[in-house]
Amino acid sequence: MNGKLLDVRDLRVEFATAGAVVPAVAGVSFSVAPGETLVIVGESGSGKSVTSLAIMGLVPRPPGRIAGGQIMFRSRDGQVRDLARTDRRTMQQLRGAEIAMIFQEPMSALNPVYTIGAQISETLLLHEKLSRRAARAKSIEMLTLLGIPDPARRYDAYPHQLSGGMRQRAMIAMALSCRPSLLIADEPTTALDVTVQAQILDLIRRLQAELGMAVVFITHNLGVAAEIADRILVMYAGQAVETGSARAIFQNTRMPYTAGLLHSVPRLGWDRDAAPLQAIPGNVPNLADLPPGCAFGPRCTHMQPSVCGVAQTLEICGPDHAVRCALWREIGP
Amino acid sequence: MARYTLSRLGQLILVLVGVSIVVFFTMHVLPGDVATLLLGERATEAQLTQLRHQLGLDQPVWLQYLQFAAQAVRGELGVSLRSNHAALADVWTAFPVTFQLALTSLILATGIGVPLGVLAGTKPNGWLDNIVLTATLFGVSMPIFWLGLMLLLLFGAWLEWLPIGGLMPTGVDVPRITGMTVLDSLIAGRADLLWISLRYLTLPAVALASIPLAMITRITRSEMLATASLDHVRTARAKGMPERLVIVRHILRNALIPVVTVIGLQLGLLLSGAVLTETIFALPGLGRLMVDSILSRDYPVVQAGALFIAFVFVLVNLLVDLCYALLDPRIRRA
Repeated sequence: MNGKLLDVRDLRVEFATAGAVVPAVAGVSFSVAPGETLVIVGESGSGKSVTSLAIMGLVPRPPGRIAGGQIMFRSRDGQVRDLARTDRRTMQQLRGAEIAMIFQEPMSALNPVYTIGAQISETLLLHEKLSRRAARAKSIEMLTLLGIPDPARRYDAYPHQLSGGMRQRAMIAMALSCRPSLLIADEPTTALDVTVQAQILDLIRRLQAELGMAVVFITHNLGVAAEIADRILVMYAGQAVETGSARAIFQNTRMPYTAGLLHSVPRLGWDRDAAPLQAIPGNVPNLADLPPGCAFGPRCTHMQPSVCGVAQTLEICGPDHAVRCALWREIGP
Repeated sequence: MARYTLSRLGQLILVLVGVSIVVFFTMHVLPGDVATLLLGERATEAQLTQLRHQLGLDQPVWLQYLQFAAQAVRGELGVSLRSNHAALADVWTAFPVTFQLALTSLILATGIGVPLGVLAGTKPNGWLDNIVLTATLFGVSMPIFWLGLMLLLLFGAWLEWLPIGGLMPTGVDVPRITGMTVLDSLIAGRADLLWISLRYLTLPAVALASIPLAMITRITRSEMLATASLDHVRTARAKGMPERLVIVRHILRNALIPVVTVIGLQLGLLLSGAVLTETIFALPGLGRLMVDSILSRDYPVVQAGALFIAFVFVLVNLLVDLCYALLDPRIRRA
């Protein structure tokens, strides 16, 4: 493990649909060091959310199943386990306590019939030997940490009585209440207003430093990735297509797909006439019917059938930088 | 919550006024003459006219209604044309029989239906789910009079395990306090009477429970299924919660909200719709009283009974809505 907290090797997740087995994640490898932030970037259907659910052991089964690979995780007691093969009881003990997750929709991700306080306390009571009163005190402490005004009163509020930003803070309070060493954040800012987005990102960054936890952050927005990433993994059609340090990805973009994502992010003060916003032509391919060779080929402006028509491998293209594109030398950053 | 309750009570009054109008005028539109019915075919025209005058039947209908309404507000709903008792007293005597039957059926239906729905809904398409789906389809589509007769035949006539009808055997009396035989036996502390009354209650309660049981099972199953795929359930699992707790706290708790509505509606229907069951099992309940009174044009009893049923129905609905508000915090502020 070389001091890594999480080491995912050649992860494969399949979904059985009517008539076909869809490889939602087709051999993805990455690792996360303690305290590090890995951002997984991709469009919907790229397999980024399924990857995160696989780490949590929450791939819905059936129709989904982990078809191969390893998810090595070092827990607090120093033991290294393969989460893909860990029994249910142990997974339940790890979930919420050592690996926590926050979701995209803070409204639907919270149970509408319980107060947010009860939902935070619930996590604490599951994993720590606490009295109800102690759990309440600790929950209020978490709400305070998350910058929720009047936390003692908000403890007794129902989700529908809070704004979207407040709900997401409550959600984060819940996830972090047991001080996990790994936080998985699945598009936690996508459903929020832009101003609230920035606040939540700041908050995650601050708490990460304070609690010393690693974060796997999932987003389709490279702008968000630029804000918080130490390392970036770009996924396309269930595979990693470019991976490396945030600096390498942004300064030496090699993969035409990553470049396409970068060009499709509007920037403040950008000159509409000089550089019009570019959309990537076409759509994400159907995973049950992938083109031979490079999955991005049909949408790629550099596509050369003779070179791109065969299966591509992830090649080292620089220090801490790898790309799945046979043409990376010619295209250049 | 208090304001909510008050406003719902206000609605109750409006519903009662509406029901009283509908019932009153329906009875008057029906063919048949009360005076002839009471005095017989051979009564003279003078006698008939006198009786009509006595009963106020010669006045305009709207005036009759206003008089009826004014009396109803004071709790006077007229005198039964058949029994000469106050109409409301007849209704009040019959009601406990129906109430006991309906409540027992509902307890059976809920006590079996909700757990069955939960088991079926947590393993959709499993063997239990398939059995439950088939059985409940039978349950909802079986006519209650047929099921009642079959139960009578099997358990009453052939196997002779249970009595075939009536409230209690002739000659055995339960000291009347509430009018509900089971409860009265309990109050009297008589285990022997309790056993007898329960035996008499079993078949009609089972027959009456069949449809609500099937409906409650089905709605619980489908609500469990629908709730299980919601995001907050995934959140609960992400907390590391054991699956059994996830089902009880985060699926069942939310799925129960619509189930409670169905249970409440069923109680209302059972209270007013036990006519067939009461007829088959010869129970002197409200449904039978209503049918007999309609057939003999006993207006006061029909009116009193209809108003009473409407009152109970609306009251039950109010209770359901209050339960709803307790179960779902989002409704409390509305």
